[in-house]
Formats: sequence, structure tokens, C-alpha cells
Amino acid sequence: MSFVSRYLEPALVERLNHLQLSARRVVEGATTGLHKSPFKGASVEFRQHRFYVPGDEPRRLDWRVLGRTDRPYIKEYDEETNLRCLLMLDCSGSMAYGNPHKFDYAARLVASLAYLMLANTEHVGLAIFSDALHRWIPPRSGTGQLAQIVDALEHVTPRGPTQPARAMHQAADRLGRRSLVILISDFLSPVAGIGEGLAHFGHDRHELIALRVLDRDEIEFPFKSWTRLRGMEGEKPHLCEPAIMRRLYLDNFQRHEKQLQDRCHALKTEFALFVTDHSLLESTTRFLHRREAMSGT
Amino acid sequence: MFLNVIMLVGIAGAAVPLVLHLLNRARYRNVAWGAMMFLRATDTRRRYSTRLRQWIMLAVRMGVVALLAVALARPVAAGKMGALGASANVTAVILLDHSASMGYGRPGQTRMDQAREAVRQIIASLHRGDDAALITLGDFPRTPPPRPTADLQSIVDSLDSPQLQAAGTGSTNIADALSLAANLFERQSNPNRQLFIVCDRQANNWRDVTARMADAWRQRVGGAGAPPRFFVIPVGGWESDNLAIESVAVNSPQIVLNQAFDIQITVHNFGSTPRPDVPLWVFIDQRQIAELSASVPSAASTTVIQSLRIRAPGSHVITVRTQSEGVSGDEQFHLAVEVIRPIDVLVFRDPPLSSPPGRADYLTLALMPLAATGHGRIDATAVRLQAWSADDDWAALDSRRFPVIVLDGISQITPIQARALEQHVYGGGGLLVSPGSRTRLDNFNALLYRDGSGLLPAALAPPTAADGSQATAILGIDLSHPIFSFLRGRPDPAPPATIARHFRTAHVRPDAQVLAIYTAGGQMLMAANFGRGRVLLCTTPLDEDWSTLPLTNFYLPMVQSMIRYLAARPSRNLAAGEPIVAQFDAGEQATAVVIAPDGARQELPLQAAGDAVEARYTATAQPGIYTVALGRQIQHFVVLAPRQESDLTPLSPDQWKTLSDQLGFKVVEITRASIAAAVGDARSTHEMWAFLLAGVLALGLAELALGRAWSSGVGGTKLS
Repeated sequence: MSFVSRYLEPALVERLNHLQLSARRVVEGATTGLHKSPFKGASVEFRQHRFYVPGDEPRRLDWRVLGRTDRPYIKEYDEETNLRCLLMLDCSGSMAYGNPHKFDYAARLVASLAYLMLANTEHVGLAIFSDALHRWIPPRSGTGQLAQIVDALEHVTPRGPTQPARAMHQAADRLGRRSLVILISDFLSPVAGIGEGLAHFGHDRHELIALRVLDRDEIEFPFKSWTRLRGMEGEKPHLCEPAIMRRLYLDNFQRHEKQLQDRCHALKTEFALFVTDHSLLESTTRFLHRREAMSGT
Repeated sequence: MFLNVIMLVGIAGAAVPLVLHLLNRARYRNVAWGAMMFLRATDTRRRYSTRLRQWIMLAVRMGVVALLAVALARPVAAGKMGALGASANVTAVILLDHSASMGYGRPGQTRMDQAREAVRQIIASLHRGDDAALITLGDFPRTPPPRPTADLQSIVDSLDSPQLQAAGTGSTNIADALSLAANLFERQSNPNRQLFIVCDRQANNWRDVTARMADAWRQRVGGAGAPPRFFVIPVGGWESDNLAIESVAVNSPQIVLNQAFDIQITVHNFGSTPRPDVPLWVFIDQRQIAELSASVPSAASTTVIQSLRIRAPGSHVITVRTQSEGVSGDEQFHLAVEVIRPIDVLVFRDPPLSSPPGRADYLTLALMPLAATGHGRIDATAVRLQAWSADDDWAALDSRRFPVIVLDGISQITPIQARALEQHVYGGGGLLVSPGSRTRLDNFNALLYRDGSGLLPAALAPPTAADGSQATAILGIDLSHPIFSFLRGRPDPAPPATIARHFRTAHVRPDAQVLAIYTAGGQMLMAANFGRGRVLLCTTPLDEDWSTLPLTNFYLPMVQSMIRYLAARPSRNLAAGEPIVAQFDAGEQATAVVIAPDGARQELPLQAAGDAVEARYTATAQPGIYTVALGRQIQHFVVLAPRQESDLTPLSPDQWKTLSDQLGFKVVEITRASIAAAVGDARSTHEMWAFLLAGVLALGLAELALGRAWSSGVGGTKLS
């Protein structure tokens, strides 16, 4: 697809070819792959011995142990499976802020991660949402999936209000098997709602990664003169003198940031911030290295 | 109080932050913003706090501008507030009374000695960097006041100059002095100003200080900023005893050789003790010719009349002296007089010149009474009668030969004659016009009045009724005029004459003087100047045709006085500063010499003035006798000492308080401690601008700090 190069720059692709995104927790894959599967069976990595119970497949008996001890033990293995990942991308109105748009940045991040995982024959799906799920591409592998994801990104325009909880509930209901869910959003909505969605994923035993994409302005509130801030998600305009309003804004922002991080931590959700004035290549690389270091792989 | 009030307009600039605030609100930029959720205050208190901060910031910014404007207006403060300000150098103006009254007291302890000591103390109280100006009052000429100098020692040195060793001869006028000080202060930029007046307690010094003048002065010196600290340091005691010769006047417009005249000597006792036997000595040209005695009640005047006769023509000085322990200078009085030879009067009449049988020529009789009676003595006037003729062009009128011309009832004159008369008067001659029954009014008005530009003081109108039905009398006489000085002291100066007819007047010239009027109204005698000469218009004939005036004892002295007035030379008794103008017959000398009262001689250049020459001298500051000589021609001039200084009556405590309230001064009695304390207290006035600028800076920093504190977040922007 011609749009692929727009989201995957050559330098990024070159770097991504040397990286991989692994699931830190157990995910349910459809094929044998790099990632641990919760299903035990004939696989390469021994897990434990278990006393034989009626109904176990006789072929899974450890004949050596039976010969030495006359006791039937079943030999269990950790089944290694491929990664099943759902990329959830926020396309609410607030994602249109900045130059480049946070949405563009996030879309390139989505494409990068999808490329990275599909290159490792993982299954990757995409959910685009704002106040609800707008687009759902179920996780699949293969190069055609990347094209489908990029095509979906190309045809989305950020608009409308945000209700991440609702979208996450819908996605969780559809996702089924345990997967790695990567949520990419600016998270400019109440933490409580976000937490609900994350909790739903956690309850379904999905591994969660929350990637927050923000513009530098949203972090620093750099306005100097009187400014009429017009809400991008239909909020009432707000005329403010930045010199006075900045303190309030930053206080609120800091508080929200901390609550969000605390909530992610509580739900065992990895959290990372991407700022659009940083190179996507560097930010992605740093994120993957950090993740790799933390997982010990 | 502010030194630069105009800058207070800048307070309006405090509105600039508000205007900018409103303008900025109106000129905001629109930004599509995603993170709107962080702009909402989480609670009402926070919302109000944010709004309060906005207003506090605005108030601080407005305060910066307003405070800056106030600082630029250079406020000054005294007392505890003043101690916060910066101490500025002082500009002191010291007005020193140097009038004649300052000489009162025993030698070495005069008021002037005390005043000089007071000035020394004032100077001693000033600090390094201060400047001061010493201005003496009561001196002539009034030179521009000196600029304040930081060389204070030079001022102290000037106190020992011969000029200030003794009292002056002039009179102090505090109102003028205050105006002088205001001029000086207006040229000074130093806001710390002090004004000292060192004077005696004489009330007369303050004669022109009124409530209105005081208001105007205070507005002038205080209008643009802080008024000067004002101190009056009175010197001398409350003594007021003084005896002065108030005036010496001659009861004749012009003294004529060998003719008796009276002088009126007025002596004033300013003290509270009657003086029963005050000796008076009269001198003519330093030669005593009479000794008189006067009894002068307390706080009153007494006039003594002495008859004199001078037997030499020319310039003379009459001096009257007495003995007084009060103010020096007022115990004698000089009077310069010019004694002329008998006055030649040319009288024009319609022919025949001689009176009809049975009628007297009253005018000639009045002017030459001694000749008419066959007395051997010479009259004051010599009359020459001349018949009027239309053919006579009067070109040969010799003004020097006949200083006075009388038109005695002539019927008309020709234009050439009118022009000749104008030339005569313009050159300094005198003219008496007395129209008669045959006078053609239209001719006189056209040629002598000339719509107000001619000789006559007024146009003549038709006379009153010939039947005597409008007869009147002389009612009002201007006794202050020299012509009627012979009437002074008389109980009933109006003559018992009946004026049966008289000419009315119309269009009186604005510069004309009315010297006598009729009971029925209308002018009887009028005077006017024309060039350097004088004109008198008598609206009733000087003979007995229309009045009984010639039959009264009033007629002779009046006619003689009129002629003397017309022949009188300009007065040689001048006020200080008035220039001396001495006229001489032209001679071979190129310069005249003037000898001042202190003996100083100066040569004066001569200038032509018609047939004569003229010498001018303007440095007449010093009262006394000035002698101007050209060869053998000598003229004396007297510069009169002001007599206001003789009245030593001190200000009463109530008057001091009133003046102090009106002018805002503090009276400081002369002791070293009191002057030092007063000056020290005056220094407690300080400029506050530096203090306020510090406030501006503090507010500016506060604005920055508040802006930074309220606009930055806790933890800053550490996210990346």
C-alpha cells in the first residue's frame, strides 16, 4: 500500500528490524512462537512433573521416571506461542492538537508497533476509538494485516468526545483470548473512566501497555498573551490570561498525570509517555529497550 | 506637597494596565485546545482564588504606574515621614533689612549690628553644599539680586563691607522683597528652600503686605511644589521714639529774587512722649538764617511757618535741622530751590490797551502792585502789555525774554499766532488764556483746542447768560496744587467772589487738571501740560466785567501764583533713583561735573537741548544734595530720603500673628540656639522620590514574583 511509507519511514523500519516487542505476561497465541502460552503441552520448554491422573494422555507419561520409580508422572511443558496484540488508538478530537497532530504521531507509533510485531509473525489487531469503537481489525498475522492497519489509520480523522472506558469495554468483549493490549491515547479524560477500561482488560487477564501521546504545549502550557481556548471535543470556550491560568492548569495536569500513573501501576499496566516534539524513532527505541531491560529478555 | 505637580497627571497612567488588560481581553487569540479539562478549577475556592489573583496582579501593575507618577512628581515630606526621604541641600535666601531705621540704637549695638550677627548665625547653620544669597533691602538702585552661591564665606565677608557696616538710607518694603525672593526661587531647581528675613520690628516694613498679596505670594512660591521654609528674625527692641522733620514745603510755585516766601516745616513726633520745645534750625546754602522752636505732641505733627527771602538768583538749598536721637537721616530735610529774577509777562489784549476811564487794569495791578503804588521795591513780575493785531505773526516771540504769555480776553488769533504760541509752550514757556466777552469761541477752539491736540485743556462752550441769572461762585479749589499753596492753612480758602458769567467748557482733555470749579458746576480754572510748558485756562475774564473776583483779596495772590506756576522751573527735589536732568546755558565746556552727597565727583557729558545743553545723572540712590556744575553755572538737586522709615512703630503681637498666618513664616527671636534649631528643623523636609522609586521597584519585583509564582506549576515541567 502506498500509505505504508508515510507511517513507516525507512530509518524507523531499519531500526525496528533490530527490535522486538515481547509480551511480558503470558498470552494466548494461535501458533507456536516466541511468547509463553498458558496452554501446557508438547513444547520445547519443560515446566514440571505431575502425578498421573486418569484421563491424561498416556503419551505424556514420563517413561523414564515410571521405569525408575514405578510411579506414573506426567511431564508438563510450557507451550511457547506467538504474540496476540491489540493496538487501541484514540481518535478523539483532542488527538488533533499540535503540529504534527498527536494523532499522526500516534498513528505512526501504531504502524511501527504493528510492523515490529508482524515482522515476528505475531498477530496484531487494531481498534480505533473515541467515545466508542469506530474500527475493529481483529488480530491476525501476515503482511496483509499491516496494509490493512495502515489503511485503517489513513481513513480516520480525529474528532468527537472521548469515552475510553466504553471503548475498552467493547474491545475487551471482542478480544476473547488473552492478549497484549496496547492503548495509545492522550488520556485527556477522567482517570476513573480510564481505570474502569483498564480494569476490564486486567480482569480478562490481558497484558496492558498504556502509551500516552502528548504535545509539549499540553505539558507546559506556554501561552503568554490572552488566549481563548476552544475545546476540541465540544467543550465551552475558555478565555484566560495565561500568566494566571498556567498555575491552575499545571496543577490539574500534574494531578491527573499522577493519578493516571498510579492507576496504571495498580492495574499492572505499563505506562509510557510520548511527546510529539521528540523523534518517534528515538522514543520508540527507548521504550522498547526499557521494556526489554525490565523483562530480562 | 509636590515639587513637580504636573507629573501627577501620570497617575492617570495607572489606568494603562487596566486598559491593556481590557484590550488584551478584547484582542485574544483563538486556540483549539484539547486539554480543556485542566482549565476547570476543581473547587469554588480555587476559582475565586484565581480571579482574586488576576485582580491582585492588575492592582500591582496599576500601583507601579501610579507610584512612579507620584515619585516623578517629587513629593516632599516633613517630620517622621520626611526622615525616610533623602536629605537635599538647602538653598537659602536671606533678605536683610538695610533701611534707615536699622541705624536705631547706640553705636555698636544698632539694629544693623544685630542683623549682621543674625545673618552670620544663619550662614553658620548651613551645611557644606548648601548655597545662599544675601539680598539687602532698602537700597537703591535695586540691582538684580545675586544668585545663590555655595561660597558661604563670601557672604559672611560681605557683612563687613563698608556698605553694610551702617544702616542704609532707604526704606524697606517687605512686599517687594518677597516678590524678589519669589523671582529668585523660581530660577532655582533645589526643592529644599529656606527664606529668612532679618529686619527690625517696624510695622511700616510690612505696609504693603495684605491678605490678598500674601495669598498670591504663597501660591507663587508654593504652587509648583513645596513652599520654602520661611523665617522672620526680628532684631532690635520695641522702641518707637523718634522725632523727624516730615516735610519742608515752599508756599509758592516759584521763588522770585528778593520776594518773600513762606516755608512750612512739619515735624512729627512718633514717640509717646510730647516734645514741648523742639529746636529747628533753618539754613540756606549751609548758612543758618533762622532758629525756631516747635512744640510737638506725642504721635502727632506740628507745622511751623517761616518766612524767607533769598537775595541771589540761581540754585539754592534750604535745609532744616533738628535734634533727634532716633533714626539718623530724618532729623534734617533738604530742599533744592531755584530763585529766578522777576518774571517778565507778556499780556496780549485787544486794543486799546489802556482801560477805559474809571476802570482799573486789575491784572496789571495784581502783577505789579508795588510799581502801581510807587513803592521802591521790585515786583515779582514785570508786565508788558501788547495790543493784539491780526497782522502780527508773533514770530519774534522771545520765550526766554517772556517766559509767561497771557491772552487777556483777545477776540481771536491767527493760525500763525497759534503755532507761535504752541512753539512757546512746547519749549517750556507758560500760557494763561483768559477769554473775554469778545472772544470768538470757534476761532479759539479751532486753533488752540484743535480737537484735544492743541494748547487748551478743554474746548470752550458759549458762556452763561449775560443777564446774571446764572451767576455763581467759586466752590472747590485744589489746595494740593502749587498755585493754591498760598491758601494752605487758611480756614476758608474759597474767595467771596460772585461770578456773574463764565464760559462753559466741553471735551475736557483727559490729561487736564481741574483746579477750581464753580458752585453751579463747570470748571473755573484748568491746567494742562504741553511739551515742556504749561497752560492755564481761566473760564472767566480776569477783569471785573463778569465777576467781582478782582475785588477780592484772593485775586492778587491767585494771579501772581498762576504766573509763578507758569514760570516755574522743574522741581529739583527728586525721589531716590529718579534721574537728575540739569539744563545749562551752552558754554565752552564739554562736560559737567556732578558731586554726590558722599563727595564723589563724576563728569557728565552734555547733550544739546534746544538753545541749551543738558546733563543727565542717574545714580541717585543716595539721599542728599547733588551738585551739578558747568563752569560757573551751578544747580543743586536734592534726593529726598524716604520718610516712612521715621515711623518706628513696631508690629503688635496680633499683627505678627496675622502676618505669620498669612505668609506662613515662623518668628525666630535672635539667639544662637533658636536660629540653629529653626534651620535644623527646616532640614527635616526631604524629598521622597527615592523612597517611592524603591517602592516602584519593590512593586515591580513583586509583580514579577507573583506572576512567576502564580503562573508556574508545582514540579514544573519535568515530563518529557
